[in-house]
Amino acid sequence: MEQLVKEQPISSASQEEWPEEKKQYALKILWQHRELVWSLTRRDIRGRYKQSVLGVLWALLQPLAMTIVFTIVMSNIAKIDTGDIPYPIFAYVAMLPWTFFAGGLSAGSECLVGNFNLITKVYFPREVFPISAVLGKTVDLALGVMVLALLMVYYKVHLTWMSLFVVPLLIIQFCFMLGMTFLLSSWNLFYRDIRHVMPLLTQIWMYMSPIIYPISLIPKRFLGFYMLNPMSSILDGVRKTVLEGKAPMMGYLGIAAAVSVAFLIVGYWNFKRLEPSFAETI
Amino acid sequence: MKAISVENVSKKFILAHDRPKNLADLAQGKLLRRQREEFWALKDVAFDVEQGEALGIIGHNGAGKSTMLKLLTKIMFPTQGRIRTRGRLSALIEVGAGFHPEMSGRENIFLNGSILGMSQKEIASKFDEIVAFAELEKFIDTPVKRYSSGMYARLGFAVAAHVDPEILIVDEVLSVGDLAFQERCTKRMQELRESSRTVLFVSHNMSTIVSLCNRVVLLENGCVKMIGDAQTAVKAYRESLARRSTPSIAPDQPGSKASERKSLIIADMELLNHETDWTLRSGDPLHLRLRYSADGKLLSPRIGVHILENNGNTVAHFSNAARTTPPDLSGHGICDLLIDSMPLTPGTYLVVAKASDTHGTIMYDTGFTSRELVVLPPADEPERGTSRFGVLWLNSAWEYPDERCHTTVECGDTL
Repeated sequence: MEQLVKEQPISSASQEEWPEEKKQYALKILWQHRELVWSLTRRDIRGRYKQSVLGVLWALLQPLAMTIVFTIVMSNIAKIDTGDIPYPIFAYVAMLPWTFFAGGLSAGSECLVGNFNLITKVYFPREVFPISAVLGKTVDLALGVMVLALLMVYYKVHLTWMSLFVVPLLIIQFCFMLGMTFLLSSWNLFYRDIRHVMPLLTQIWMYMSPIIYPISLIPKRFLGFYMLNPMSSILDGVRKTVLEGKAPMMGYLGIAAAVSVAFLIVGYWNFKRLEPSFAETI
Repeated sequence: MKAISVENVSKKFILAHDRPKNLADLAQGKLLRRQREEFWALKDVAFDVEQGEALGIIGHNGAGKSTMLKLLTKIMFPTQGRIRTRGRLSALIEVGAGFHPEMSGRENIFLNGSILGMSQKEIASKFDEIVAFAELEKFIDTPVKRYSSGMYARLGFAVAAHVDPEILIVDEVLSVGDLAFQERCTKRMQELRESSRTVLFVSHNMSTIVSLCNRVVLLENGCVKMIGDAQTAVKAYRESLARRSTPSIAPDQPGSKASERKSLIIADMELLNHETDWTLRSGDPLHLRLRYSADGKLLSPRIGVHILENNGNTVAHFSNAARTTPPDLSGHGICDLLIDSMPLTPGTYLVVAKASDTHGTIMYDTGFTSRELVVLPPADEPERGTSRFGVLWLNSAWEYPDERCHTTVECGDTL
């Protein structure tokens, strides 16, 4: 009896119950912060074209201008054979997802450095930054699709059910972009070299992907290597399904999906590993 | 029940001095022999906060307050030890975090609210309250880049004040806005306290600390100097402020062997012209009497009196060696300091007396005295209390020679 009385206050004082720190799963954290992701995405979009005369037209202009330049150079001078498809729409249909990719990566790699003010002042899971940076670029993509629709009417391209393949293709691309953004944004925090590498990287990457030329130009023996780049399968897939009504190359698409998911997992893991030191590094 | 438990927390920062900055550095192989210096911002800090308690954290600049806040809010993580919290925690470390200058006040309320952890629904339901609190009804659809810094800060605080956390952590944001707004903020904090929220408050403003907090943690050089009730801790803080206000001597300085070290102890200070307590009105003279006791005969020792602000800044300094060579002192005695006028802004100040040898290089063994001085508005104009900027309260007048009207009131109407 005496022992009980003695022990009780000690044990209750030293072993006070604390809410257990539960293992949080990536998707659950994301779901809990979905409104924040949405708010930050909206801020990105709203802020981007404010105080510019052309405003949101800039989002349309970039892929269009590129298409026009490449139409002149590749189609008229280099005389690249694109089969039955007129070169402008041939290039534009791939240029759209590519612009999304390149824009997402360059915005994404800067997302942590650019939000240092928030990172050092307020806590919430940092993955909301890369995610909303990439999401913010989907608006540009959606606007571009409207131009694509006009071009398709003009060039009398018939849509088939095959074009629904665009949805899984873009999901694969989104995963790949997220994975890349997780890696680039966190590395950029430690080594600002990333910032200078980005324009070069996207430029080289563009020529390494089937945007301004058809995939048929790639020699057979290099094709396996060439298709390790997920963007190759995705861009070729978009072109085939939307313009030609054909199925994408499933085998290569499988590789693209696998590579993308691997990047996403590794990128996220690396991001979370570095996350505790973000505020100290900036 | 405890809301926060800080268990032996230490935080180490690594200051990399020779991080290679360019290729030339790299070529010299500095990448490999990077010099690193460890810096412990916090050492073995431990305290608990009970649910519903208001705890203050005070300390000098660099004592580790900000690091402590960042650890509590999970912006950074402790190197050793751990911190456990119970309940939704919200931090007011900066007002207007994440504001986008191009977006309107309305949009920024929603943005800032969700950054601070509120749901969109919650923000919508409190929206009118927030706008009214910030007094920005007219400008709520204006981009915040057109706001004045005061409006910006008011909007930021209004959002933050309406977060409804179980634990609220506040860092000095109260020092924004005009006096009326500051009072509203303090009131809001009091409300939060009364609704049994746990509040952690970091500030340099001792009167706010005393009025809001029941317990105070005093940090010094990353360690807990003391934990106690607000009055005691604030007093200890003021004493350590006084000690720091002039450079202290290193104990092992050459030529200061214990046997050679003499001391001049200032045993007491009193206000001669105000017999009651250490209170005077702005503009009053200050006659200060110091009682000293000298250890042997001291050749022309220097005696200095500092008037300090609450944050430790020196407002004025009076030295007996400023104009004449001080006399030699021995044994017990008194000396008086006569100041014609103290035109200080109403508030609390600290009067500190110190003594050193004739060259000012050796500070005599402590024994210095410090007293708190309360300055009230002048008796003839008690209402002149609207502006508390700056430390000096000087008599002044405004004239408008180009205006034809004669009274300022009429001018105010036409301007």
